[in-house]
Amino acid sequence: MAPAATSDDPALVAGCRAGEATSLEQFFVTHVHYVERVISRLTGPTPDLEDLVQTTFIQAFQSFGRYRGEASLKTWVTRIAVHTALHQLRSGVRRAVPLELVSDADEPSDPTEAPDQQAASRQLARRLHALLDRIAPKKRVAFLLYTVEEYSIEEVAALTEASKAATKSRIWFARRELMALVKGQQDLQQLVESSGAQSWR
Amino acid sequence: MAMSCGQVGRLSVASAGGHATEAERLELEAHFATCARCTAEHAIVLGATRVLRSAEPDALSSAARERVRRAALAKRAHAPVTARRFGWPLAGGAVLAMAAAVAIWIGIRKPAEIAVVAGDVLVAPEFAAAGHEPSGGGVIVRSERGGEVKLADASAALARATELVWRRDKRVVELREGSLTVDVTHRPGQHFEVHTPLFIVEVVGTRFSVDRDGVRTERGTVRVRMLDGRLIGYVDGGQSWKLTRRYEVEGPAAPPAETPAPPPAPTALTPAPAPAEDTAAIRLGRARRALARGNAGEARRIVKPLFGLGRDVAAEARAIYAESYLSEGRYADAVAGYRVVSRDFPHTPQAESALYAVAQLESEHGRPVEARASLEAYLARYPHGRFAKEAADRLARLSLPQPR
Repeated sequence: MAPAATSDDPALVAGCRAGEATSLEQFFVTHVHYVERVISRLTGPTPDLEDLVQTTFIQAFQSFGRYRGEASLKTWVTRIAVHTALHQLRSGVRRAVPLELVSDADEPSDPTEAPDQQAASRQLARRLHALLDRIAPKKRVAFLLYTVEEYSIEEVAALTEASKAATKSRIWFARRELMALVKGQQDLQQLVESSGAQSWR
Repeated sequence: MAMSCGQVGRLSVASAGGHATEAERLELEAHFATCARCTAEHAIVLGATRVLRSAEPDALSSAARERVRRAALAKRAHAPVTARRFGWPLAGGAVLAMAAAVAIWIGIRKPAEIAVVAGDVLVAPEFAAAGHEPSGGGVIVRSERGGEVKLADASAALARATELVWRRDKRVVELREGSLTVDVTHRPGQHFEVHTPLFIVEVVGTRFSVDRDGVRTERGTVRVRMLDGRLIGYVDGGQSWKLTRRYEVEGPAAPPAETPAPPPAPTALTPAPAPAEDTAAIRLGRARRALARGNAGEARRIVKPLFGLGRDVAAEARAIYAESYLSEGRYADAVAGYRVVSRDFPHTPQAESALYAVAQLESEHGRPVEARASLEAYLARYPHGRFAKEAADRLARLSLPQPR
């Protein structure tokens, strides 16, 4: 991808490269929420979120010497977050057997939505993530970055360090596999279709 | 020209991601008018995308974020890339110096890998039953009335009548009797495990209690495995897991040592009934989740009734209480809360974090005199504590003359 001019404060970039605590803190505060969101979206609900965010920022802080300013700081840290999430998904140990544990019901998170509606949405999202677990991590990540995070093909290719052709192919195969998996669960298919119909019409 | 179903499939994903142009969307509509299959598939793609996009992604609590910030800053690369022509000799020298430092550190550190912090705890080298030969380099730790030990960088609170073997080289605790609560910081590439006769608990990061029947995680996550290494599952903060079926190992007809108990099948594992302490653990978990959502008042309301319970629960409840004020930016209240933890629960892992939190808040909010006192108190009480280096650095910075 062609080098892009970035709008990052040059003093901040210089400070981060020099390992200055104040600059790194500013970088952290600016990007931590986005990094949490991207990792959480790509991996689905995970108890390892803190570890993954920490790994991302440790990698970033230790790699600033190699940051050439060709992409914005946000793109750069997102690329590290995507790699961290991919690595986690590839390790395959995270969600092997979900335990039915002694646990209270989750409390509602969105006060504008009725509690039963929230619970249903959460349950639906969990089921979809469980299906995504059965799709190869590279395909899953490309699909989610393209559809859910709305990155363009070029951006997804850059974030995952793949060619445009490979990225398109991964998205297409992920779509096909997800389709087959959803169709394999009739009740889920109906729920997902009705969500799709609501947003489409 | 009319589009094929394959082309429509590709365009359908683009449309779901918001990448299709108006003209492309019109072409899609035209195709859907004549193809029920593509219409249904598009609804699935669109629906799945919508559900995944609208699901609130997980977020870290302010305390977790603070831990991440501190850990990342502590590991930042200090030296900027300069003077490339001296790079290789310098790098070689640095590697040698680091290797020497690591060797010295290991040499110094090894003897201090186990330390009795408090209580009635006996420590003895492990010997084989017959020949009095050391077996596996383990150390037996026994406490009749309860106590606390440091096992490498982990703190372990031992319940009454607890006996364990600590294998430093493998960072493994073999629990023989009783129960223990472990507080350990997870580091990538460095594991910590507790083995019981029936299962293995492995740290993914954090504070948990183990007895021979199950595990309760107070903070973070642990991984539970069968003795043959197969994964049983994860136990998150605020959750408990217990074996429902009791195997013969504890009964009068215990099998001989060479006959291992049958491994528990995952299907045999079901939620334990909720006794009082599980209820407390559930409440703590609920409070943490409330805190993570930014609902500090709710977190306080949940933990308040736990203040009068046992030491471990009460200490954690008080710590969450203090943290709730921190998340609201009510620093004075947070300091007061952390002081209570440090003062009233001195032999818990929370006390150490609380005392350092007090010092940190004081130094960051314009109370250098108090901060110095707190940092000195921390270093006096925990000279090898988890935050000892940070405390010493902070104290050194506070002791520098301040610019006018």
